[in-house]
Amino acid sequence: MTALAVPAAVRRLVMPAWYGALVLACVYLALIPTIGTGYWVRTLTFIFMFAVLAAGWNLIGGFAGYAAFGQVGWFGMGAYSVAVAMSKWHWPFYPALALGTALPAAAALAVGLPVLRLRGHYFAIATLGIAITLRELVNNFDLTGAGSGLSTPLGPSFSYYYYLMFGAMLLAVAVTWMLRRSRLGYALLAIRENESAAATLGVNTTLAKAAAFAISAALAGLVGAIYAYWTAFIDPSTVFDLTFNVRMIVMVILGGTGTILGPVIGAFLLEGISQTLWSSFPAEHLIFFGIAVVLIVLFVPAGLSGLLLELRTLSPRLFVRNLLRYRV
Amino acid sequence: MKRLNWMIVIGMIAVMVALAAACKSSKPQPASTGTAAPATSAATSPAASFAGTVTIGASIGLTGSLAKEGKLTLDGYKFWEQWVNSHGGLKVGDKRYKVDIKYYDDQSDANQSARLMEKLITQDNVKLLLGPYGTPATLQDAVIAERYKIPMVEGNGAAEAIFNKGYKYTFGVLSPAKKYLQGVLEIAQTEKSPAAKTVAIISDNDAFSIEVADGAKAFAEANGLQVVSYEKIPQNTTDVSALITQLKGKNPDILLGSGHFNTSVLLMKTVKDLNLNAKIYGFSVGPSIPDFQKSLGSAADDVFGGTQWTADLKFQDSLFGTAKQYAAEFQKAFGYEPDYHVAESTAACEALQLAIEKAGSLDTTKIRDTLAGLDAMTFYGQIKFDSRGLNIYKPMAVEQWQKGEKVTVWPESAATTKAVYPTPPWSQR
Repeated sequence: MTALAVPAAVRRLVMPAWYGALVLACVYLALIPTIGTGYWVRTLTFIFMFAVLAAGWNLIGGFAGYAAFGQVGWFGMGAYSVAVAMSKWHWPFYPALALGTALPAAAALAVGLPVLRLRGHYFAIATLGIAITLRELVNNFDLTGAGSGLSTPLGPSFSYYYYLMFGAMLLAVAVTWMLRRSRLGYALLAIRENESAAATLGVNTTLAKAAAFAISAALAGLVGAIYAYWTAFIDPSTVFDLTFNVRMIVMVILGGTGTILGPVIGAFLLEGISQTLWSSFPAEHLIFFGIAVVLIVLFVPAGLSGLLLELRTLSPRLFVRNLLRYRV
Repeated sequence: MKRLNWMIVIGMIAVMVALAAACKSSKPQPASTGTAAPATSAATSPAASFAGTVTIGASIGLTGSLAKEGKLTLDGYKFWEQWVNSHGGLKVGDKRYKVDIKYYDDQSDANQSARLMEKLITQDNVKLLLGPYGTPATLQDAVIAERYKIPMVEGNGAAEAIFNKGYKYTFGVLSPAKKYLQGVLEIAQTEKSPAAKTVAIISDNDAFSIEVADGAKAFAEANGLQVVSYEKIPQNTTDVSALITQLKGKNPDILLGSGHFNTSVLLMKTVKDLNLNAKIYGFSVGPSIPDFQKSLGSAADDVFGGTQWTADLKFQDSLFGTAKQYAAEFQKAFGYEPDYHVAESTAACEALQLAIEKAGSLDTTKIRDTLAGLDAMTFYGQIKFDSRGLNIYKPMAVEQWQKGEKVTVWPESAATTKAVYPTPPWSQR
């Protein structure tokens, strides 16, 4: 999936409008708690949360090309850090939030060094194993309330969490943007394209991968931490929900793998589609959802960002070309 | 190649049209039953005499893993709605209102449940709430009720974790989780030939089940029984043979299962296959649901189940009459015998109704305060809340399957027949 080049002329014409639209969208979103209903505030808070999870996965899955399947483990770890710190040790929220971000990052760095030596399916299975191990640890320790779950104190208003998640999403985009331009970012892209070649050229591949893995875990932990305080109750089955993994990956693919805004766009689209389908077809919506996912992977594997860049050549042939380009 | 192109284009268009159609009709179609109630209306001709409609919101899992229990909950709510509307409506002061239960399907997902509760309050302007099914969803919804100061009466979240957080707007009409298996142990205490002395407890690993198991363990120990094993099994376990084999060595007199329907069925199947012989088998959730007997056949015989309610209990009120009459009327309307999930759901509605009628107002604060001080007898038993909002005053009952029939065996005042004790070993069945 090579980065798609945009002619300079198109860039000059489109980019200002694009940035303007982004700023407007941000202002609008920032105003939602004052003009929208609680339902929308909650729905959007969820979308922001998933956007951060997707952005985190994009760093390891999209940039480095390592299909991590256990990001929800870091999410759960962040959530449980906050729940334990607040309910058992009576910490205030912000130190707990810091713990919930730092702990998954440190853990990911520690397990990443050995696990990231695996490639392909082996890596995916190992990360899934990590998530399940974390869930079972939580399930069996009294400190974490075992299967009973943990309650956190009732916090401030729901708009407070909205802004926290919104901030987390902006942070995730900023991190992705900076990473894309950093030495580390180029190292990751090199690893994705050809790891052996990158290593030969002097890239410390192990360190680069572990760093990306740790940053993605920190992002997942951050929103997990906010989530725990937001819902006031967590248990292993809700915060280690393995379907979260699938959802965040589909969001990234839908929005555009390895792009900066792709994960965010994907989160909005997927949750939007999912909520719309749900309200129209309560029983069958998962079928439509599944069909949509298959079609996306078949016809727009580079995601919507990829599709936008190729708009000028948009024709039925584009989809066929995609099919041919990504076939085995 | 050309043909392939066109097929793809047509395929894409079809999908887009489908999606567009989906978006158009995006009006959530929760479809509260509203007036579509059966035409068995009583004396009053509804539409003419009602001063207005009182809408009550609920989110219930009608699809997903809890669909079976969710359906029972919804039917319990709907039955009350139909009954009240066909019996003169809800009395507020000297006016009478039609009741309308507006509900959404939360897909058995606690997060979705909370989202829908917020939708009901902020978009549908609902001022009163009924609970979802299950402890996890109730825990999340209680936060919403508290934030918006909207009273929520629930009948399907029994874990005390819900009520220990100091919330003021959540009320549970059902007995706390820890009492579910105490009745079975009380039966064991009264039986002397031969006496049961040892207990093994197997629990699902979730908030509700653990509270049930902890309650049973504490009660057993306080009454001189020896707990020889207390094991928690992971969620969605499909094989418990190792655990049962291990238990055989300890040879417990009483085997208690504190879990959900699937676990209870799995345990009984394994116990039979591996020929573990206890004198009493008792479960929290499972035996009260008719499918328990359908899944197990004769292996369900002599199994005890703790239950919130049975139609044999000697309770009555002025709304439905006796528990028996309630069961008969429900069966007439919905075509099946109500179990305790149905009854506790109707009871939640009735508690709300009693509070509104007593308050004589639709003011949410007044209704909440009246609920807090409510003390009423219903077909379901006494409804009265402690300072946490939990009904600790209603007793529980015990049912047993006897030759393919479910009968009430405890408490004595409601027992229709004597409990079969001890359970004969598998070799003699």
